[in-house]
Amino acid sequence: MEINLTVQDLNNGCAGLEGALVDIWHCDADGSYSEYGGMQMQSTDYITYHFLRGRQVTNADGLVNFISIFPGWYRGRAPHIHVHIYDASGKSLLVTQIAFPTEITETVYTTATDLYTNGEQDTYNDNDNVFRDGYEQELATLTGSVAEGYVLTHAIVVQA
Amino acid sequence: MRKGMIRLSYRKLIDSTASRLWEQYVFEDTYKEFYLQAQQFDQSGKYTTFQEMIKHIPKADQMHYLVSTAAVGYIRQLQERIPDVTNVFGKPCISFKNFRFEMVQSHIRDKKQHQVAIQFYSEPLIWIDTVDKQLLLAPGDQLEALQMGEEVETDLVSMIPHLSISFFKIL
Repeated sequence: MEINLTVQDLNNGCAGLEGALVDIWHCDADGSYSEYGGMQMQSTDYITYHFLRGRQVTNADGLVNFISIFPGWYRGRAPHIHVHIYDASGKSLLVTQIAFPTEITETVYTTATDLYTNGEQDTYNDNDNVFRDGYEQELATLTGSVAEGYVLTHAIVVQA
Repeated sequence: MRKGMIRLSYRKLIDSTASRLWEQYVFEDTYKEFYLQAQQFDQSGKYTTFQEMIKHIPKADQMHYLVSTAAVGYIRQLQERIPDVTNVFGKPCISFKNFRFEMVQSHIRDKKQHQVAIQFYSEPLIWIDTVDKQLLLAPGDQLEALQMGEEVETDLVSMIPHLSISFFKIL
């Protein structure tokens, strides 16, 4: 999956913010995170593993591009990508999560079953405890297909 | 006359007084990583020092390991030779494969308080003798050759501050 994120600065008329550090992380196809685990929330111990975590610095248009996999899901949460955005000096600007359109996650989890073996997700955006208060700003646009792969596009507004 | 098989360990402290370029890179990059991780672990910005975070935030001790990722590339540049510990010709000669990185202290608004330590553990060494306060050493994998009465290559190494013998085995 290709992930294209644009960081926009509210204090500058929502123009693209250059030089921002975008840190993203998400779970694997089974719903497990690296640098985490060995506990009730995630029994698989991936504490000393680094994967599906990445950082990029935005270009003059505020854009960063990652190549990753389509995230799986885990019990009690709708599928999502974590994002932490810092300014060029490393100061934290925003911690947020990106939500997925349900029709696409359902398609992936029920048809790409050679890789995604957990079946349908148990939590949807509407009843997710992070997204249920409204996720219009967090909902990404996805294009593509299981066969071709997906491209995720999303804009995130910060106050730099 | 062989004293035994040993492993040396050297604790290298790196802080704002770092003078060599390699140390400055480690200092700068581990501080940057600490600053990012600190804001991830303490998103409300309640704490300023590493000590406070360790005390109050569950799992903040993961920062030792997470910050180490910023130093690993520089540690690889050492090409498995412990820094600062040299033979009498001034050349680093002690091999290591294992090290332990540790955050000693830091402060999110005062870089001068940032301090990290890297503990290097040598590969096994044969401590043959002590010559004028210096250790006469041969690589541990030369033990058989030494026992067969063959000539082996040796080094004379001075003990320096923060250098210790951490493991000993009688031969």
